[in-house]
Amino acid sequence: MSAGRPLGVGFLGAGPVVQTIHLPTLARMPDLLVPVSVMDVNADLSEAVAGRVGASHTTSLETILADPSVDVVAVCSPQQFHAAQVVAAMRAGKRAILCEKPFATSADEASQIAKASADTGVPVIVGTMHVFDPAWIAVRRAWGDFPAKVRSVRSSIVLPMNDRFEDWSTEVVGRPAMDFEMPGEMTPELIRQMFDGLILGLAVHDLPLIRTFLPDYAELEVLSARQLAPFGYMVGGRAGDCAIQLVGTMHGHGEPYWELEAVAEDEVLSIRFTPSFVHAGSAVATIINRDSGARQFGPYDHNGYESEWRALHTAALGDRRDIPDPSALIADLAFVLDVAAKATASAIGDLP
Amino acid sequence: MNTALTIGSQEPGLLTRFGRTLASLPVSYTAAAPDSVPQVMLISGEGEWARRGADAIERGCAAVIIVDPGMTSAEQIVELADLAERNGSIVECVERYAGDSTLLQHRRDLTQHLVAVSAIILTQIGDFQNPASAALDMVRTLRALGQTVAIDKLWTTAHSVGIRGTSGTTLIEGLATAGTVAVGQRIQALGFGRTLSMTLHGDGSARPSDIRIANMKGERKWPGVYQSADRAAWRRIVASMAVSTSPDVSGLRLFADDVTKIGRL
Repeated sequence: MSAGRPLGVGFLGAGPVVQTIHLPTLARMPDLLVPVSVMDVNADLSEAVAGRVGASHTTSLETILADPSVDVVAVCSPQQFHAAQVVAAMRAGKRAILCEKPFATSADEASQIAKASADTGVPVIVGTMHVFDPAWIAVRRAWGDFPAKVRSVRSSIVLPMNDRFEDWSTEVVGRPAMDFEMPGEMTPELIRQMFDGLILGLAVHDLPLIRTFLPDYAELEVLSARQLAPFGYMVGGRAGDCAIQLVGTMHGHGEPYWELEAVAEDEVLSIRFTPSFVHAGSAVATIINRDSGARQFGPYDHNGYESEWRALHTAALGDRRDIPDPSALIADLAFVLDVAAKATASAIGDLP
Repeated sequence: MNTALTIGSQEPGLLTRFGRTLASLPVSYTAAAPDSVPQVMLISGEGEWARRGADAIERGCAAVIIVDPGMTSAEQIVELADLAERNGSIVECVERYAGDSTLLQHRRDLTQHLVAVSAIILTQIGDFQNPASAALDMVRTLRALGQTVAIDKLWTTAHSVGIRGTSGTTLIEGLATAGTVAVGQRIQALGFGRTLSMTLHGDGSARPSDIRIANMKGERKWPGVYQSADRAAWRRIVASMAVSTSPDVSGLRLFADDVTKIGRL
């Protein structure tokens, strides 16, 4: 391949994430990556979305995997299809894969991806944009031994409904209906479905970051887990000597509050993220030390979406320095699944 | 004519706070002579503060101010309330978070808004005597916000304490961590149509806390009150002593209830 030719990107899925996040991001780096094909089971949707960027469209996974103009595959389908599609793209000889979070829904699926990546040498990254946020990356480089000192970590995701931000990013077509009815009577199966959806759909954004502060993350204990109406969770617990508080909910007014905080005896890290979907620069990270005062990182002019695509491009060309090791992705997923399973068990334990 | 109340402090450790607040209320208070029984006595909230408060009343003090009251015997608090009621004595608590001047200024409005939220989340950073006292700090703030909290779980790590409970149908979650940076208490109350955010400094200063509400009209900051919790408590004593009605010890009895709740866990 010529070093000067941008890599072609094929999308599996054409929903709001592709329309609002990935296509606007790629539009800012046409020298590196260009959309060349869009696949969706909804033919009208794939045609409409592909037409915006001059890409081809299809309803067939096989077609997009066989397309030689597709160098990189972005898996943006419903999460239950992620693992199989990632493995298929690797086996098809693509140069790199971006998979939306979560990249699998079980440890077994994660192992299949790891094996396929090892067999084929194809790099994969997960679209956890906060892992790639420039403010997070900058503060990580500067924080020294801070993670080892953390006593508690808190994630608070309090956001308006997605459509508000999607509409500020692009003109969305084919938006799926949102329905957040709380069921009248909770059953163990309903609780499991709710926490799977909440943890794998919302908390998943920050759990890889939280794991950074938890050397004993495998010893996670969830001591409280409750649903918030109409859509949300409150989870409390501990892992070793570190306490954890996770809150996520969506509301009907306009102000977003997305914060991550880690507390040590003499130092506090606080990160304020922008909402999902918007393209308004990076988060702002502030680390305050009792002796040396406050240091602020960001806001930078680009966000984690752009960083993740740049990292993927570099990895596709053979330099993997900017992407997480597959073992870290698997550990992240294991942690996410563990949180979901233990939150479910805790909530079921509270049933009368 | 000098009508100032005489005030004294039981513990030398309170003298810095004492001096700072006395300087801000020079008309209402004057320091008691060393060998006299002051009309108002400051008492540290550590250990058996309720018993020491009762001792002060029995020695003739007309009022006592309990500074940063922590966990103690609920029975002793009730005995203090009974004694104050019998003697017509006043007992005021200076609580660094629950007694925050900005919070108290807006308490009525906040309480009304909190009717429409489904969850209240507290996080606290600071020193604490023990996990139970940190939990008590959080419960007391909720009490100040008009919440009658039932706590059903309390858990700890080496440096943190978590609580979980309800107030009516509102879910309550709290996490306090021992630390020396970004000290204070943050409260976030979540409703579909509004989010309330409060940052209480709890540092004994007159720096106003930050209280905001976000709704469809946007985010609005409420006016701050530039008065320490100490000064506000001293002023309440002046106001109470200016009227001849029986002292209201219901707040003290509620404090005993909160201590009992935490003690059970």
